[in-house]
Amino acid sequence: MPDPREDLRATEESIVTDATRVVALEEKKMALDPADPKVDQLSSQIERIAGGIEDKAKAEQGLSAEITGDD
Amino acid sequence: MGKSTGERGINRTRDGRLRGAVSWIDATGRRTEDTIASRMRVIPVATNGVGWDARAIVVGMEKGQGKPALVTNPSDDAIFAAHVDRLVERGAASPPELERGLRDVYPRASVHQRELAGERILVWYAYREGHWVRSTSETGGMEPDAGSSRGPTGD
Repeated sequence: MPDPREDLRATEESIVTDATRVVALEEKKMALDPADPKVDQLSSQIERIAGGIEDKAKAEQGLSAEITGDD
Repeated sequence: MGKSTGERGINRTRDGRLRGAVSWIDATGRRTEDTIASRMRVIPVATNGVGWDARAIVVGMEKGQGKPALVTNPSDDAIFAAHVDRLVERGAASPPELERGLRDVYPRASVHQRELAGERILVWYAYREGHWVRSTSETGGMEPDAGSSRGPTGD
């Protein structure tokens, strides 16, 4: 049976990791000329990671509620 | 995830399943090739009068329909995370399938999913050691279970 506390901790850490990646990619993008085709590629990557963060943040809320309900 | 178009070698088998490979130019301009997987939605744009033919549009997976959000632990093991991503991209369609794939390299790995009631959100949790472990950055560089932390090889 999965432990919601472990899942919550893993989710929190995963969000931090993803957010760090977004920052790194944004900085990389800022260093490029806006006309550089790599800008679009980086933007898509950032969009994908940000979408994952949104889902994980919602999962985090659900897990917190589950844990609080258990207490 | 953006829409992507492509065409190549898509056929329907006698039992009605799709098989074949597709290649397409995605929203970033990169050419990608993959085998048809159940997580892809394939819309035929031309038929040979019998069934599906080789031309099709592959629509990227939409939120809640396809690729789950992936949470990997330990969070700072980029090699493990990349291996998880790669297995999902290659068609691991369920947590048990992903777990089986991971155990070739990480024998203690475990995977389970969580769904949020009322939300179209699916999260898969992949634990390299079978349970949560502290990341090495938090332990000052100590590897909690170094025995199974070797990375995938030959890929």
